[in-house]
Amino acid sequence: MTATKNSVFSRKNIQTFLPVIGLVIVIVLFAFTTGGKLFSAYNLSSIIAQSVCLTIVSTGAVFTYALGSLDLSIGPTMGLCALIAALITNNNGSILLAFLAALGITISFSFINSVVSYALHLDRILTTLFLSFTAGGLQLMISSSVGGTIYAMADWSLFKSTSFQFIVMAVVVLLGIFLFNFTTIGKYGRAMGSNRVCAGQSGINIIKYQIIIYIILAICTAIGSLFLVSRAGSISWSTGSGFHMDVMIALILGGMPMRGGVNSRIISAPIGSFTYTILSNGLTLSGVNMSIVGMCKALVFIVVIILTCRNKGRVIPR
Amino acid sequence: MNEDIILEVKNLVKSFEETKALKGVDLTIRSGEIHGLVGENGSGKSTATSIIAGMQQADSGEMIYLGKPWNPQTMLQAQNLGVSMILQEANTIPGATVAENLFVGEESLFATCGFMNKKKMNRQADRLLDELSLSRFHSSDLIDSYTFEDRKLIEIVRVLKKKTRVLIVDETTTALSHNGREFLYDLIRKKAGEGNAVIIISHDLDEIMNICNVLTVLRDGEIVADLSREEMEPKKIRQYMVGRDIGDKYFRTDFEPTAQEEVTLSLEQISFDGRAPFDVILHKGEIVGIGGLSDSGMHRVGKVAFGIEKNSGKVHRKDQEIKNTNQAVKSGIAYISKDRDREAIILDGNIKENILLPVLANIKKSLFVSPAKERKIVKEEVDFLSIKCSSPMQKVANLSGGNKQKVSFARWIARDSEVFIMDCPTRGVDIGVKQTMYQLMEDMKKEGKSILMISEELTELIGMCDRMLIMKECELKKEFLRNADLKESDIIEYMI
Repeated sequence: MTATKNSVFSRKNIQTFLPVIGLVIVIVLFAFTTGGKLFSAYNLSSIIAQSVCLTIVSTGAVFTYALGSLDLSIGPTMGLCALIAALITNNNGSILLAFLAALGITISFSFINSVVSYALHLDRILTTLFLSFTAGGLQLMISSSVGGTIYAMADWSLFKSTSFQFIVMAVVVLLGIFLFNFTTIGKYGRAMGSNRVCAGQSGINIIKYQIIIYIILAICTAIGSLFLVSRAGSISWSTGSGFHMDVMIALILGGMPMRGGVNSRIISAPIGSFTYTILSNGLTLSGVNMSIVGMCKALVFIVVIILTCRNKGRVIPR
Repeated sequence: MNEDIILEVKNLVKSFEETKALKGVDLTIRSGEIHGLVGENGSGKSTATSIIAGMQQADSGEMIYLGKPWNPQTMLQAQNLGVSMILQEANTIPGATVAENLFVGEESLFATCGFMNKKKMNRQADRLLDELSLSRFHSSDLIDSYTFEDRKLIEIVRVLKKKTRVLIVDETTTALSHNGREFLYDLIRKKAGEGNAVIIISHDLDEIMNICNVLTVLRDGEIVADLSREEMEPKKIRQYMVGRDIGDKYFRTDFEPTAQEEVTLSLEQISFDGRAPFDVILHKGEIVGIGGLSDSGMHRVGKVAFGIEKNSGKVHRKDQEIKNTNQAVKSGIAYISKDRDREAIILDGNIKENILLPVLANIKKSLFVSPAKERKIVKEEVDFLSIKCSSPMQKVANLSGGNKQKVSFARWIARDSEVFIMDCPTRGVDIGVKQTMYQLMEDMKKEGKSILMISEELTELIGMCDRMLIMKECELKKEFLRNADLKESDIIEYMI
C-alpha cells in the first residue's frame, strides 16, 4: 500500500549517494585546507600508492561481506603472503612465483572459511578468527626463524609505478563491478546474505557459491599482498596486522551494510577506500599534528555512521 | 453519550508518502461487541487498528476511549491502558523463555533492588498457563522450542492477561490449527461476554460469519458498509470488499476428478517418526490436496517432496531420485513455503530480485545474466499476476500480504516449473487475490502442470483438488476423489 515513488530525494537514494557525497566533501575540504596541495601530481600518485592495496582487497571483501559475515583474517593472511613473497623474491624467485605462492596460501585459507564453516555449521566469523591466529602465528614463526625483519631486495619497480598501480586497481574494480552486478556470483551472494533459507529453496547451490566468493577474496588478497611488499619494503611479524580493520572501515565509509545482503553495493569498495585514504592523506598534508590524526578520523567515522547506519524507518504494519 | 461505547473513532486520516491509507474512517466500538473488520489487502484495516493500538499515529482525526481523548504513542502505553493487539506475524522474542515472553515489559513486578526473581516469574507464568488450560507449556522453556502456532498462543496469552477493554486480533487465526482457533474463539467470546470489545481482522469469511456480531467493510481507506448480524451474508460482503460483483466463479466449476496418465512426482513409502508409511503420487495436470490439522505431518510431506526434509522413503521425478532441494529445483519442482516471510521471499529485497532468484540459473550464459532479459521477465510476471506496485524496484517488505504471495508464485512461474508444491498458498490473502490464485491453479492444471496443495482450509481443498489425502498424526488416513457432494463434515472425522 505504500507506493514509494523513487524521487531523487527518497531516503533510499540518499542512502546510496551519501558515500559519494562523503567522498566529495572530504576532497573539497582538504583541497582548501591543504591549499591545493592535495591535487599536486606528487600527492595524487602517493594517494594511488596508498589506496591501491586497500581498494583491491576491499573489492574482494565486498563479496564476502555481502554473505553477511565479517572477516578477521584478511590482515594476518596478507602479512603472511607478503612475508612469503618477499622471501621467494629475495631468493631469486620471480614475482610470478611469489604471486602463485601467495595465491596458494589465500586459496587454501578460503577453503577453510567456506567449506569448514559450512560443514560444521560454524559462524564464518569463527573460522576467520581461527585463520587470523594461524596466519599471524605462521608469520611470527617464519619471520623469527629468518631473523626478524625481511627487506624486499628484488626489483619491485613495476609495482611501484603509478600507472601500473592504477591499471591493476581499475581492472580489479571493473571486474568486481561486473561479477557483483551482472553475474550469478554477486546476485546469489547477496541473496544468501539476506535470506539463506530462501536462497536454498530457490535452488541455489549454497556451498558452491560460497566457495567461489571466498576464492574471489583470496585472489584479491594475494594481489594486494604484492603491493604491500613493494610499498612497505620490509616485512616483519606484524606487517598487515589490522588491515582487516582498514577494510572494514573503508567499506563502512563506502556505505556497505554490515549485515550484508541484497543492499550491498560493490561501489562501496572504491568509494570507501578512497575516502579513507584521502582522509588520512589530507589530514597529514593539512599539517594536522600526527598525535591528533587518530581522533580526527574517529570524529569523521562517527559522523558517517550516524548518517548512514541509523534505523531505516519503521516497518509499516498491515 | 452512549454508555455502551468503549471506543469511538472519528474521521481518521493517514497517508504513507503519496498513498492515502485512510481517508476519513469512522468506527464505533461498543461493549460486548465482536466487531469484524474486513477488506482487501491495502484497504486500510491494519492501518486503522494499528493506530488504535498505538503502533503509529494518525495524520488527523479524533479518537475517544472511555469518554476521554485517546492518542497512544506506543503499543505498550495502549496495552497498559487496556487496548491490546495480536499481530499477524509471530511477535515473540526469540532466545527468551516462555515466562520472559509473557511478562516482557513488566519485569519490574518480579524485581527486588534491580535483581530479577526468575522463580517468582516462572511460578506466576505457570499459574497463568494452567488457568487457561495450557499446562503443556513450561514457563522456563525457550520460546524457540515451540512451533509457530504455539508461539502465537503464547503471544495471545501475553496480551490477554492484561485488563484489556479492547482486544484487536489481526489476521491471527491463519497461523492456528483447529484447536488453536477454538481456544482463541473461546477467549474472544469470554472477553466480549465480560463487557469488553474485540476487533477481528480476517480474510476468512466463514470465521467472520461464525464469530462476529457486527461487521465493518473497508475499501481503499474508506468504510463502505456497516453490517449488523442479520445483514451479514458472504456474497454481499465479498461484493462490498471488492467493489464489483466477483461473480460466483471462485473454485473450479467442474466436479470430475481429471488427470493425465504420466506420473510427474512420486513419494514412495514416506514415513514420519516410525509411523505407517504411505505413497503420494502426482500426475500431469492433476491437483492433489493434502488436508489435516496443522500438526498432522502434512507440511512435512511438502518439505520431503522438495528435498528439504530427509525421509526414509524415496522421492522420484521422471526416474530421477530427488535427494536435495537443488535437484528438486533443477528437475522442475517448485515450492511455495507456508512461512512466506522467512522462507519464500527476501523481505529487504525488491520485487525484481525476488522474482529472479530461482530464474537466474535458467537465463544465465555461463555466469553472465543479461539485464535486458531480467527486466523483460520481471515485467511479464508483474503484468501477468497484476502485482500492485509502483515499480519492480519496490521493496517486497512494503507490499501487502496478497502481493507478497503473488511474488512468491511469480518466482516459479517465471522459472517454468512443472510440479508445484504449495503449502498454504492462500494463507493471509484476501478474496480478490484468492480468486486470482484459484484461477491460476486451474489454468496451470489445464497446461499440464501438477500441483500438490497442502492446506488447512477444507473448503479450498474441496473446491480445487482432483484428489484429496487426509492426514492425521503423521499417517495417511483417507483418500477422497473430487465429487460435487463432498462436504467438510464428511472429511473432518478423519482429521480429528
